[in-house]
This record gives sequence, structure tokens and C-alpha cells, in this order.
Amino acid sequence: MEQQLKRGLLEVCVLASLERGDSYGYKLVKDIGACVEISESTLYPILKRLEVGGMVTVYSVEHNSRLRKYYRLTTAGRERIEGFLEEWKAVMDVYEFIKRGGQTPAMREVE
Amino acid sequence: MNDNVNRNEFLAELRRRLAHLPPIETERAVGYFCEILDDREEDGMTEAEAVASLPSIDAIVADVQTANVYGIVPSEVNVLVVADDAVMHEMVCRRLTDAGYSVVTAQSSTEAHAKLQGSTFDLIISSAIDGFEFAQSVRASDKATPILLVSARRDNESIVRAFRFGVDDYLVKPFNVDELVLRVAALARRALLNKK
Repeated sequence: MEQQLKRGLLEVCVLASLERGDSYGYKLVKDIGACVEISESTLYPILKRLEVGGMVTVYSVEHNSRLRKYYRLTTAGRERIEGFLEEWKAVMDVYEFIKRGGQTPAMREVE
Repeated sequence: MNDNVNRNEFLAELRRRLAHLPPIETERAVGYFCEILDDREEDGMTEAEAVASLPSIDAIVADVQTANVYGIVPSEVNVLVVADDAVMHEMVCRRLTDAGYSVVTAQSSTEAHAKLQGSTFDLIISSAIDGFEFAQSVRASDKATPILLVSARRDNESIVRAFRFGVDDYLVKPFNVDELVLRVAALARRALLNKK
């Protein structure tokens, strides 16, 4: 997959994963990894960008005598997911057009 | 990928390779990977397996770099701080130095002018009492270097005057030092982009 596209998709995957509840780095990698390849290293800048962009907030919780950082989805994060789904409706139309060899369903009916 | 490296060596090497970032960014990244190692070990891996299963140090450093949202390396940013107030001088210089910036100081606008003759700076911060006039005189010959003016004058007239004299940013005293460091990063980012 093209890197820029993958990065954008991964950001929304992180947000979508957080829709199920607050989570932390290692768990996010495991959850998202079931759908698309991601490493902890790739996740780091994504989490940072999402935090700077106000789409997630971060807090620490004591866990087994150490602090673990948790990430929480914000309203802006939810809006980003909704925006992404809207945008991809249009992308899917283009995908169908390409897949059908440059034809829209309407053109096919005319033929 | 990181075979035959123990956890402490791995984290020390990561810290060393990220030392050019602001300390807060370095510690944040090291803390993140430390946490990942803890979680992997808790999940049943040995220390060696946890370290070995992480991406290579080179890959991690490259990824962490992309998280540097300002896109600047502070140690490559030369800042001239002009302050005639010792407390202000100490506070601003210490924080900027801690954040990794290369800081040169001047106790007065006259001293600052002398330093500007001999060196090139990426950014000037002035909190001198004659900061408005200083900014105006710098702008007469240098249109590019960003100037952040720090002043106790909070009235609109003074702020408008400062920008008319050619400053790029204005901060009212008393101010939050974290905010000043963030403003410096933003000004430096734009200045370096223009340079490129």
C-alpha cells in the first residue's frame, strides 16, 4: 500500500480502535495489527499527531507499579472518523469507476 | 532485529540517538518504548525477546523524527536573547537551552547589535526596555530574522506599534515560559522553511 495512504488510514484505524474504549500503545498495535500491519514504531508519530491535533487525549494510570499511558478519543477524533467515512464514499465511487473500466453504472445501463 | 542487545543498552542507545531533540521529546519517546517493552514482557516475552521483536533502532529513530511536529532540530537553531533583566535572562535562557536551542545572550540592545554584526541568528527574542526601538533598528537592515518581542505593555497601542516596527510575535509579561518555548519553535519552523 502506498505509504502516504497507509499513514492516513492508520490514523483513522487508531481512532476507530479507541471508539471501543480507552487503550494504550501495545494494545493498539495488537488490535489494529489484526487488520493492517503496524509496528509500535509506526504508531508513535501517529499518536503524537493525533494528540497534537486534539483528536485524542492522554492520561497515565498506575499499572503493576508503573505508569501506563492511555489514549482517549475526543469529540474531534469522532468527527475525524465521520469525515473519513464520508470522504471514502466518494473514493469508493471512483474505485468502482476504475474497476469497471471507466464506466459508471448509468453508462452500462445505456449500453 | 535487535538481537543480543539487552533492554538497558537498547534504551540507552535510543536516548543517545534522540539526544538532538528537545529533552521532553526524547524522554517521551524513550518512555513510550520502555512501556512497550514492559507490556511485551507482561505478555509473556522474555526481556531479550521483547527487545528483539521491536523494529531496529534506525527505524525507530526515523519514525520518532517524523513525530517532531515542528520539523526543526533545536540545536541547529541559533537564538539571540536580549534581556536587561537578570531574572528574565536566566529563566528564558535556561529553558531554551534545556529545550536544546543554541542560545547567545546580550544584556542590552547595544550589545545585541554588536553580536548581530558578527554572527547570524535564526531568531531574536528581545525583552529589553528599549525593545521596540531595537526591533525597529534591526528591521531597518534585516527583513528576515524573526523577532519575538516580550514586553510588559499590554495595551493595544503598544502591540500595534510593535508589529508596525516589524516584530513577528509579541508576548506580554508576565508570561508562561512553556508558551514562549512553543512560540520560539513556531517562529523557528517558519524561518527555517523560508531559508530552505
